[in-house]
Amino acid sequence: MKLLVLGIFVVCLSLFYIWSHTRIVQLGYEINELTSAQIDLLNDHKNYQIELVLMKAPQRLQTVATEKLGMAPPQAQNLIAIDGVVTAPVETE
Amino acid sequence: MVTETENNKTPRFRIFIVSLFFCFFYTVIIFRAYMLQIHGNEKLSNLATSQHNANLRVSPQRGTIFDRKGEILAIDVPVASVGIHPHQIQDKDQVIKLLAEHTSLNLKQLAEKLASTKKFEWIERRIPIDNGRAIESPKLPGIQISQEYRRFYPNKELAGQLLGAVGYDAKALGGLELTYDQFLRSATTNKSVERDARGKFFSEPDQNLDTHHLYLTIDKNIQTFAETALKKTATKHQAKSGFALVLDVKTGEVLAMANYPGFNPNAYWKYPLDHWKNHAVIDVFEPGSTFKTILMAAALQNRTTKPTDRFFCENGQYQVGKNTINDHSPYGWLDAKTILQVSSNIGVTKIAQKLGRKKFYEFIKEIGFGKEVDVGVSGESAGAVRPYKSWRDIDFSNIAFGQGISVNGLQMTRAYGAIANGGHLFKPFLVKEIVDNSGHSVHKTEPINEKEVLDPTIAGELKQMLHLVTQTGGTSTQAHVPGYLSGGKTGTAQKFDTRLKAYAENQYISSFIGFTPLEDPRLAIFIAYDTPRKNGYYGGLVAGPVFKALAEETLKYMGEVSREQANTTTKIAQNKTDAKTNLAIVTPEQKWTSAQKDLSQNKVPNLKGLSLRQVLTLTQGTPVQLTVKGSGIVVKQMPESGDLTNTKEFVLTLGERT
Repeated sequence: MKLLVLGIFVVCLSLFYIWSHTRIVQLGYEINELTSAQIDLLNDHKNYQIELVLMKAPQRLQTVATEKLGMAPPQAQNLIAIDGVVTAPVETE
Repeated sequence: MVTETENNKTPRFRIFIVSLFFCFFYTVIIFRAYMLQIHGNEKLSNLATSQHNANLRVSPQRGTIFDRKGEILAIDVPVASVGIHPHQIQDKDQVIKLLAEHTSLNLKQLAEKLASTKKFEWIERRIPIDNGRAIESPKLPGIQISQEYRRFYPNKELAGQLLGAVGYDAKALGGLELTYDQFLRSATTNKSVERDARGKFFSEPDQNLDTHHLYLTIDKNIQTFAETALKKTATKHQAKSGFALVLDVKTGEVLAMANYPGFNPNAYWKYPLDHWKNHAVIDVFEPGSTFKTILMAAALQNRTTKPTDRFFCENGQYQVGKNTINDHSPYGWLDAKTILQVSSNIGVTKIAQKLGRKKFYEFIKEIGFGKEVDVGVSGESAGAVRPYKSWRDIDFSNIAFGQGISVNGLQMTRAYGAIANGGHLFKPFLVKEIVDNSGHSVHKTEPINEKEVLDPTIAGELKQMLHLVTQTGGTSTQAHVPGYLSGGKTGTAQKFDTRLKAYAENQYISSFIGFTPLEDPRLAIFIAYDTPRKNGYYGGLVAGPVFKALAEETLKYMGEVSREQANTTTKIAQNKTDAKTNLAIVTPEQKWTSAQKDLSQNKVPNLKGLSLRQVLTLTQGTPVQLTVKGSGIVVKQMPESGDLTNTKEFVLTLGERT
C-alpha cells in the first residue's frame, strides 16, 4: 500500500515536472510573440513620431501657409499684445 | 513426468532470469546515465547548450536628440539588413528573384553574391523594415535578416553641422553625435537566447538599453529662421560660406547655430568635408571692426576714455611708425561714441594708445579671447592672441581695429552678450539636459556666470554707443530692427592669405554682431560671411539685413513686445480705464489659475478667454460634459457661475479675441 502511494506520488511529481516544463516553453513562446509585437509597436510609434516631425517641419509649414493658404507673416501693425506682460512704452528717438 | 518440486522451481528460475535481465538492463542504463551525466558531463552539456542557445548580436542604438522644446532633431529608425549564407541556399533562382524585388541590387549582382565562397555575405544593409519583412516571410533557408537602426534627421539640413552624422553600426562621425557619443550610443552586445529544435526562439533578448537622450538649447524654429535668412543672403552675395549664431544673453544658451552651405546628415557621404564644418566654432578669423567694441569696452572699463572724450582723426591718414592707417572717410575731431558709430580706424588707434597695450591685452583675455569656449563641439579653435610684449606699434593699432588677432564666432557672441546683459560673462552651452532611457535626468546644465567683466554702467554706456551704429549716420542702418531698439557693430575684415603671407585682394569677412532689444536685451546675434563675391561686401550691407530679419522674426516668435505693440496695448488699457469699465488686462496665466481655483472649490469656473485645449485640460477628470460651438477662444459660457456639483454640461461659444 505504501509502495502504491509512493508510486502514485512519484508519477504525479513526474507529471507535474513535465507539465511545468511544457508550460515554461509555451510561456516562452508567448513572451517571444508579445515581445516581437511590442518591438513592432515601438517601431510603429517611432515611425509616427517621424511622420509628425515631417508634417510639422517649419519649411513645410511655411510652404503650405504661404503657397497653399496665401498667408503672410504679420507686420508689426497687425500685432496687438493684449495678453502679454505689457512693458512701458519706450521713448521714440 | 515432471515432479511438483520441479514445477515450483521453473517459475522461480524464470523470475530469477527476468530479474537478472532487468538488473543488467538497469545497470546498463545507470552506467550510461553515469557516463552521460557525470563522466562526460561537461562536453555534452556544452554541446546541448550550443544547440539550445543561440548568440544574437544586438545592434547598437542611439538616443534621440531633441531641441529645447522637445522637438525631435535626430532619431533612430528601425531598418533591416539582408545577408546570406551562400552554402545553405537551396533554391538559388527563387532567392535571387526575392532579393531583386526587395533590394536595390540587380539580378547579375545578386548572382555574383550567391556564387560567393564566403560563409556569410551582406546583400544590402539598412533597407526599409517592410522590405526586410517581405524577404523574411517565405522563410527560405540561407537568408538572414537582422534588425538594425539608421540615424534619421527629419529636418534634413537643419542644424546639420551642429548635430553631425552617424555611419554604420551607430558610429558617430562628427558634431554633437560624436561629442556625446558615450551618452547616446548603446553598447554592441551579444545576448544568449533559447531556441527549440526547429530553431524558433522562445525567449527574446531584453530591450533595456543604456542609451541617453539629449535636450539641446537650440530652438528648432529660431534655427530655421537663422538658416533661411543666412542662405538667402549668401546666395544673393555669392558668399563662400557663412554662419549665424543666436545666444540668449541672460543664460548663455545657444538658441541657433546655423551654417552655410548646408549639410544634410541623412546623406553625409554626398558632401565634401568642407560642408561638414561648423564655421561658427571651428573657423577662426580676424574680426575686423566688430573688435573695436572690445577696445572701447576696455577703455571705458579702465576709465581711460569716456564716451564724450574727443579725438582728432587726422583727416583720414595717420602715421604709425613706418605704416599709414587710413579711414574710409576723412574725419576731424570726433567723440568716442561717434568714432564707434562711424568706425574710424584712426579714432580707435588713438583710444588704444591712451589705454595702453598691457591693459588692452588683459581685457582681451579677461573677456574670453584666446582660449576655447568649450561649448561641446569637437574641433573648436581657440583663436590667437599674441602676448602684448611682442606687439609692435602697428600691431597694437591693427588689433585695436580687429586685425592681427583671430577669434571664433562664439567668443565674439559671448563677449557682446556680456555687454548686452550688463557685464556678466556667461559660458555658452548647447546641451540643456541628458536623460536616461527611463526618462530620469542624469545631467542638467545650469547657466554659469563665469565672471563680471564690465561695470553695469559701463555696459549701459556701450549699449547706447552701439545703438547709434544702427541709427542714421551709423555704418549699418540696414540692421535696424523695425519696432525694436537694438545695438551692434559691423565688420569688414580683409582676409589674410596664409599662402601669400599677405592680405588677399577682394576677399573679406563681412559681419554684423549685435543684441536686441536694447532696453532689456535677450539675444546676441552674430552674422558672418566669408568672401561675398557679388552685390557688395561691406558688413553693414551684407550681414546687417540678415541681423535685422533674424532678430525681428525671433523676437516676434519669442513674444517680445515691440514698441508699437506696447504703445497700442497701453492705449487700449488707458481707453478701458477712461471708460470706467474696470476691466483690467488679465494675463492667460491669471485666467488659468483663477479657473483652477474655482474648480478646486467646486465652483463653476470662468472659462472666458481660454482656448479649447486649456478648457479640456482643466475639465479633465470632472464629470461635466462640454458642448462647443465655433472656433477660437471661449467668448461665452453657460452656466456662467454656480455650484459645479449641480452642473452637468458647459455650453461654450468660441470666437475671435475681441
